[in-house]
Amino acid sequence: MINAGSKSTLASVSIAAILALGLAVSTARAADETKYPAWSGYWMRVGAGGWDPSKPTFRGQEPPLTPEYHAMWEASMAEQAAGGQGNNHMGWCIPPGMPRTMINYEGMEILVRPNVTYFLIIEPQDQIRRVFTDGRSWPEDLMPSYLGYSIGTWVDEDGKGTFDTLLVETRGLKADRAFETSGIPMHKDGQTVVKEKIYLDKADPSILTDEITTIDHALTRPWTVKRQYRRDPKEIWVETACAEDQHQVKIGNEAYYIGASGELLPTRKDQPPPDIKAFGKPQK
Amino acid sequence: MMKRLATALLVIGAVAAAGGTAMAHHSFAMFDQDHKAERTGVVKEFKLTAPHVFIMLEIKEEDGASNVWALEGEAPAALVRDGWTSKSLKPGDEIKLMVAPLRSGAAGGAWVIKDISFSDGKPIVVRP
Repeated sequence: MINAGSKSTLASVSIAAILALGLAVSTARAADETKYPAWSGYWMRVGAGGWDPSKPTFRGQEPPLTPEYHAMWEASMAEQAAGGQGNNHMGWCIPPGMPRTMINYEGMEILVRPNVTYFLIIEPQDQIRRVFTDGRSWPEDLMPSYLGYSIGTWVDEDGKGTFDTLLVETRGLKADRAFETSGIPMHKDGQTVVKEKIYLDKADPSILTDEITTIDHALTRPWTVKRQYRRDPKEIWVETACAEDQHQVKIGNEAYYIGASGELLPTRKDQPPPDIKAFGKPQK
Repeated sequence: MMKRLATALLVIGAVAAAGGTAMAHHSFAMFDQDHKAERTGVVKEFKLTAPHVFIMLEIKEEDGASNVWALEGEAPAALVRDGWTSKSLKPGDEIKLMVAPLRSGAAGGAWVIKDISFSDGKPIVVRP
């Protein structure tokens, strides 16, 4: 027979066991997370917004494009010089996608968890990039997206017993992307693969480096650039919704501009107005 | 070799002249950076919004008529990092700024943080 005293003892033992189990899980999780590098904070880009920060912008970028795609790039810049956005669809608030989002125009935060690392990027629209590090395989069917599907592997390159480098591969990207504002194109076949090697600078842990290699059929060879970010102790997070007050407007193949009173303005001299033949007709 | 270097320097110079907007989410090529001019006017509205901030500025033209210009600045995060708030400018403030005008000649243009002040020369943001 179980008396009141036995019941009380049993309850106490049960509670102690549960607490001990909880403590063990918490301790294990904390120990697990210490294996990962300290990538927290507010990361601002170092260098200009051109895709390769080591080179001048626009034609100075010298992207290794095939002749066909180089001609597309020239056409993009010509359209921009005439007031349009060319191949820069981000001008219409289309997400930049990978790899362009790693330019990190206006600030980034990185959250490292054992199974996934999140990159939270502000411009031009608050975005969440997920890099899965749980050892998963590539899904058979990837639904194309601007950020793609990323699988990463943590590496202990310096052999000190903790992870210091994240190797990432990204697939499943939508074709409608450019490398940067001038509109350096990627192939319409949507077969881009992006590989990254991300690590803190050994001498200065306030600098994070991302070596980004893009493999794409618009290129004559893989294109590798090194982008860096500086950890800024002054964290300033500004919510960014690109469509909030967008003044760039595309109607047909023409780019217009919204003026101070909401009126439509031309972006170049002698630009034709939009086609309004559907207006003023009697409704059926 | 020298020609390529000269071209590169011109490009770098163009980027520097454009300030922080040369490589933004949208191309700023619609604004004529080669014909920037100082404009003075009265703020009708200041919008610290995404994707780029705007000042709606009433400018008196040479013929005496007044036009309200849509003047596009940098991303809001850039201004906030520089100390700006949504209250840094208010309707009625008189300011002067360097404007790269729309190539079309319409009442619009671009500006950058380093080239704007109140019309009496005082800075918009007082930095410590």
